[in-house]
Amino acid sequence: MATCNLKIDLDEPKQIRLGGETITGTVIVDCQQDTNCKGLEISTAWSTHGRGNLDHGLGELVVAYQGAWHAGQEYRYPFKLKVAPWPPTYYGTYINVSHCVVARAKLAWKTDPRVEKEFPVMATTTPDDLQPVRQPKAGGAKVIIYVLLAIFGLAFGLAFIWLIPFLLIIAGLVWFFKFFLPKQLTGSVKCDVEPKRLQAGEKLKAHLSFTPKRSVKVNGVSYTVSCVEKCVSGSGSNRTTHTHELLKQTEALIGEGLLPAGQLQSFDVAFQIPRHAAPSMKLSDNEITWSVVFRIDIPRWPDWTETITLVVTPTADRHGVERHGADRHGAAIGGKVAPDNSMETVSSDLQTRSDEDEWFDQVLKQLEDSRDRERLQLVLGAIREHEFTLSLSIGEEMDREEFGESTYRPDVHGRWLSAYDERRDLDVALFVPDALELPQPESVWRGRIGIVDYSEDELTLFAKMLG
Amino acid sequence: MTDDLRRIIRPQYSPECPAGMWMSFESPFASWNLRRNPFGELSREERGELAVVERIEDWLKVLEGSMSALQFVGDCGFGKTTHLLALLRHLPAASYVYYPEAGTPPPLPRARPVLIDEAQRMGRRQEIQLIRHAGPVVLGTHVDFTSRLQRAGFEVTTVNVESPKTSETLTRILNRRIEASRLSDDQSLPLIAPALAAKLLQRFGSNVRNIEHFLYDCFQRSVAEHAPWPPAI
Repeated sequence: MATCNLKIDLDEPKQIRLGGETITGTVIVDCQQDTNCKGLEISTAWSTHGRGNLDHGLGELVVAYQGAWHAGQEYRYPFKLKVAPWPPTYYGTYINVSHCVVARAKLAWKTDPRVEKEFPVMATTTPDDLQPVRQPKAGGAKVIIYVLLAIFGLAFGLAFIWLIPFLLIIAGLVWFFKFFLPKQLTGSVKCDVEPKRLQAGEKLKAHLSFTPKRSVKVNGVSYTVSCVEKCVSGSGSNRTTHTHELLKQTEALIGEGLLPAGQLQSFDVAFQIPRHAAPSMKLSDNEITWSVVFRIDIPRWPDWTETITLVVTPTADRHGVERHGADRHGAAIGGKVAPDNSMETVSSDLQTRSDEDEWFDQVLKQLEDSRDRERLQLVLGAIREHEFTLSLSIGEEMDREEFGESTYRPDVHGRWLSAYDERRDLDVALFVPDALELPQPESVWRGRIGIVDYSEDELTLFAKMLG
Repeated sequence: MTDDLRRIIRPQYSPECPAGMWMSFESPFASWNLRRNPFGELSREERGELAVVERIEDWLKVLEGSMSALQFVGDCGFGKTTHLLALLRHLPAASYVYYPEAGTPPPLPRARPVLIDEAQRMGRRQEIQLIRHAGPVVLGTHVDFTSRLQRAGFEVTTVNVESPKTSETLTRILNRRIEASRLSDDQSLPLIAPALAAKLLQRFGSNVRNIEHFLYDCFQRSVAEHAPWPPAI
């Protein structure tokens, strides 16, 4: 038996806190045995979770109590703590950031009971170490610096001095192909993005201009806006970098064609960062990076490229986030961005997922409200071809009759399972055709179903598993 | 979805209806009664806490001898570090040393017991320090140290972490991670059935890390794209 159980009650748990704001609530200690508490620590903290190594940080920590607790008593400790200003709550694919209130009771000679409760946080400031960066010609300069550093290092080991000419040749080739050759055709290229630090929802303006030295055939001139999650898991030889592209939108400025020598090519474009876009983030082993890559694609010739890293700060509109919070998650999963009307594109893509839940809820309400069989058949007829995705807790296999009255007669052989949708508090009679794998009892199954009937008496939905 | 259908089912629907009206700022894992993807990376402490180490009592007994050496041998991903971290929880006086791939190797503490992770990366100096001092040692290593340790008078017990796991063991390993990510006590969890564990073993062998990576991606797809769960294999 645990010495004591801890519970956290947050005031307004669903409210989105701004970074640096305070959060209030109460830690409740339900004491089972007499014990001496060496310190009841209550803190706000954030941590990452996902594919990468964990990063974490502390908001504020207080010791709310030290002393004796007696069996059978309940103790309540109100708290008011500052929320860490950065990073914001984020749910992505490889990276997630959660903020929690953590309560831990330090007990002598016993395991310390610990409990935590998550709450959403949005940031209003972005750390200064997140700076926009210009990486000329796709990082070619960096390569040369590394090569030169390697030469310098090797110069100290005379045994490897014979390597130096080879390394110099490699550095020269990199410079020749990455810098010299493209410039021979494109001439000097100017490109820029403004602003390089902008808020989600704001528009950035990009400019690219060059005057070809010679008439040059191009496959195209384009720019790509991308947002990438990058994290590192493991350490040493087990260290692995994982990347996931949240957004990648390439827009052609011009297509395939011939650019005449001496004629100025100038492009000005605008791109709207989605309002609920993932913010730039740089933690120890987890980061989210926004960048714009300009490219002049020259056939049978090294391409000219330049990458500019942006800093996207979170939107400061708390209410907007509250209304559209799930958009952010969706955007992080693969919404597409289009210049100028990107927000609309993202929204419509993302609506579909939440739309499906909402759609199912509406269907269910209509089924529940169908007071007569005729109305019920009308609704069932309307949704006959429709598929829904549900998460169901699987119960035991049962005979069809045990679920109550239904006119549904399956056209294939199969088995009936009792199932339960916990989110909606809904009993489901699930028909599983023999062709599909039967879910295990007491497991949670998620998949597609079709609605085949509804029993008003038993308040049970009859569904057919589709896969 | 036809307009007729909209009228029947959702009379209040209108194109102006803001998308966000049914959105909330909630964890996508909450609908699974989880606070995170259970197959993601864990902190070192939690890895030790969640380790399923079936013979830990036997190994603790082995380590009672003053010249005892216990080595976990195997390739990446089979649980060497997990075994070491699980033992560390039962040996509060022990020190844990990890040898990185590059850089100066950290010194080996004189105090025993000592748990050495990636022991094959120890330098000559550390190896000498290891055998010079008496006291139980535990190694996580890619190479077998038996002969070197035996020459120094150690009684060596070797555990091959690559030996096949049963579907029951894998089920326990995976479900323990799911349990540790639980949000609420009174709701069920998307637990792994032994039949699925058997299929995972068939596909990935006993490499638990590869299995966890695979399940991480499957679970993420389920959360984000409503892909079926458990995944079809």
